[in-house]
Amino acid sequence: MSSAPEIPLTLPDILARASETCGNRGLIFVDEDERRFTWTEIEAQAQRVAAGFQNLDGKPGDRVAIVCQGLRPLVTSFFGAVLAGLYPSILPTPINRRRLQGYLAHIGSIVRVAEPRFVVVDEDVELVGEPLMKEAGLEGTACAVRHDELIAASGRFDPYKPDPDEIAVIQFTSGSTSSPRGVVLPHRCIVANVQAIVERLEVAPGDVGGGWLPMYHDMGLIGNLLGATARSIDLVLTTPFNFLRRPRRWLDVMERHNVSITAGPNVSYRHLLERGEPLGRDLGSWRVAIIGAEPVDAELLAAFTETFGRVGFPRSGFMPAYGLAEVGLMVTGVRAQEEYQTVDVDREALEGEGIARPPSDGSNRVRIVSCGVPVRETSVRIVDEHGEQVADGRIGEISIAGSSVMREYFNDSQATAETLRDGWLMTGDLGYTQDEQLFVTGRKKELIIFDGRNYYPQDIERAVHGLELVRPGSVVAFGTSNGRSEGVVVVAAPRNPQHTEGIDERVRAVVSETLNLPVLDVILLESGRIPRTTSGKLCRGRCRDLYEEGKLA
Amino acid sequence: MSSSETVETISRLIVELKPEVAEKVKGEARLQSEIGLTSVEIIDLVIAAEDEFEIEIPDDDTGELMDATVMDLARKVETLVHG
Repeated sequence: MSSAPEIPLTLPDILARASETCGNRGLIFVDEDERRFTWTEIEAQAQRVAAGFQNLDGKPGDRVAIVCQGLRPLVTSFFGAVLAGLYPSILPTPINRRRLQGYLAHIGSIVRVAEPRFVVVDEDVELVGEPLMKEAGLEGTACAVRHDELIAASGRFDPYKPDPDEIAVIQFTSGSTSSPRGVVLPHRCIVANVQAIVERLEVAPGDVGGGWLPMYHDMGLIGNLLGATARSIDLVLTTPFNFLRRPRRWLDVMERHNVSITAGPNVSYRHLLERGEPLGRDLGSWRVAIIGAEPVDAELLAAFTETFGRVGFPRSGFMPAYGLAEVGLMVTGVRAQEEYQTVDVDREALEGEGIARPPSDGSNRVRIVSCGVPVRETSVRIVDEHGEQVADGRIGEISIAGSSVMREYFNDSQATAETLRDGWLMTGDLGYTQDEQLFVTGRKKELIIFDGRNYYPQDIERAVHGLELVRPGSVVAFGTSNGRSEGVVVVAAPRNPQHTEGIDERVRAVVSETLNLPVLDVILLESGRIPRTTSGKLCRGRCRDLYEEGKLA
Repeated sequence: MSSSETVETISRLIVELKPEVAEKVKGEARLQSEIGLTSVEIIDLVIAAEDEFEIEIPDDDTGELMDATVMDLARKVETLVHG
C-alpha cells in the first residue's frame, strides 16, 4: 500500500491514512446494525463506488448530487465521488414521501445550480431521482443512479490524484429557495479546516465522536465525518430524525459507546435537556460538546451544564464556536479544557450605539457567550460599513481571512464578488472582538431562518405583491425572534384603505403556498406609515425594531 | 375519549410547546405551514402526545404528520388509543 504523505493535503490522502491507521475503528450506524464499518472497509467500498462512476464514464470535474437516506450509501457515495475526482454535493432527503412538491421545488433549485452528471440515490428515496432532474431541467444530461447499481457497475478502480488546489466538495448552504449558493472548497481549504478543528478539539485516538447532524450540513460533513476521518477515530452516527424522535435512546447510545465529542446547534442540546431524561446515567466520557450555528444561548448552557454535570458532563464541556460553510466549518472556538465564558453588556448601548460595554446599575442587560479565539491559520476582523476595521468592543461585520476560506460560489461571480473582498470573506454576521475573543451578536443580512432553511425577505415580499388587495411596492417582510424560535412578520399597505377585510388571511395563504413558510403576524399600515429611508426605500430593520418594541401598528 | 377532547388536548400540548402560536391553533390548521411549528417542534409534539396518551406513534406516521392538521394528529392518536 502506498504511504500517505506526512501532512495530508487532499481528502483521498486523509482517507488513505485513516484506512492504514484505524485498526478496528470506524463508523457505527446506530439505526442500522451497530456493527463497525472500519475506515479500511469504507475506503475499499468507496473505491468500488469510484470505479462505478468511472465505468459510467464519470470524469474528474463532473458534479455528483448525493440524495441518500441510508448513512452507509451516503458516506461511500461521498468518498467514492472524491476518489474519482468528481465533485460531490450532499443534499437533503424528503421528510414526508407523500408530499414531495415543496421538497422538489427547494432541492430542485439546488440541483439546477449544481448541474450534476449524476444524482446518486438509495433504495429508500429512489423515487425522487428522476423528478429532481426534471425539476432542474437536466433530463438527458444527468443520470439518476442507485448506489448499489454503481457498485454493481464497478470494474477496475483507476486512482485519481487530485492537486490540493482542485475542488474537493461543493457545499450548498441552506440558501434561499430562489438562489441557492454552492460553496466551492478545494482540497487544501477543507483539509486545513479539518486539521484546525481536530487540533482545537485536541482529538486523541481514544475519542469517540457522536453525531446526529445531517451530512448535507457543514457541521455533519466536515465536523463529524471528516473530523473523525482525519484522526481515524470511532464515530457513532444517527440521523437527525431518529435523534429528535428518540432522544433517550440516543443517550443510551452515548453511554454504550463512551461518546466523548458531539456537535450541534442550541436546539439539539435543549432537546436532550428537555426530553433526554439524563439522570441516572453515566455520561462521564463526554468531553467536548461543540455548540454553534447560531448565537449560543447562555441560559441553555448553564441549565444543561447543571443537569448533565450530575451525570458526568464536565464544566469545561461546552465549546461555543463560530463558523460557516464558506470556510469549511470552524472559524473560532473556545479551547478544549477551558470553560466557556459569558459577559453581560448594556442592552441599550449594544442595540443603540453598537458598543459592548458593562451595564450601568439597574440597566437592561444582555448576556453574550464568547465563541472563543480563531483556529489556526485563520484571522477575524470586525469592520464597519466602509470596510474599515473597528476597535475592540465595537460591533461590526465579522470578516475572515485564512487558509480555509472558500474559492468562490459555484457559477455565481456576482455573489462571489459581494462576499470575497481583498482576500477577506464578508460573513454578513455581526459581532465584536475583545482580547482576540469573538462575540457574535446577530446578522447583518436580512435573512430569515425558519426550520433550518434560509429565506430572503424579497422572496416573501414578491409573493405578497401578487395579491390584488395589496398596494405594489408597499410590502415589507422581516424575521423576528423571541430567542427560541423565529417567525415571519409581513407589513403591507392595503390598495384601498377601506378594504382591509380578508387581507390577513390572503397574505398568510400566499406565503404558505409559495414558500411553504408560516407567517407569524400580518400588520396592515397605510403606505405612508411604513418606515422608509430618506431615498424612499423600505426599511426592514427599522420595521423589525418598531415591531419588537410594540410600536408598529 | 371523544374526538373534540383529543383535539383539545393536542391543542393544549401545542400551546405549552410554543405559547406564541396560541391564537392560530385550530382543528383544521396545519401544524407547519399555518400554525408555524418547525419540524423539530412537530417531533417534540409527537413525543409529548405519546407521553400524554401513553401510545407509540410509528416513525413512518411521524414523517407524514409533518404538515398534517391538528385534526389529523388527533385521528392518528385515536386509532392508536382505541386500536
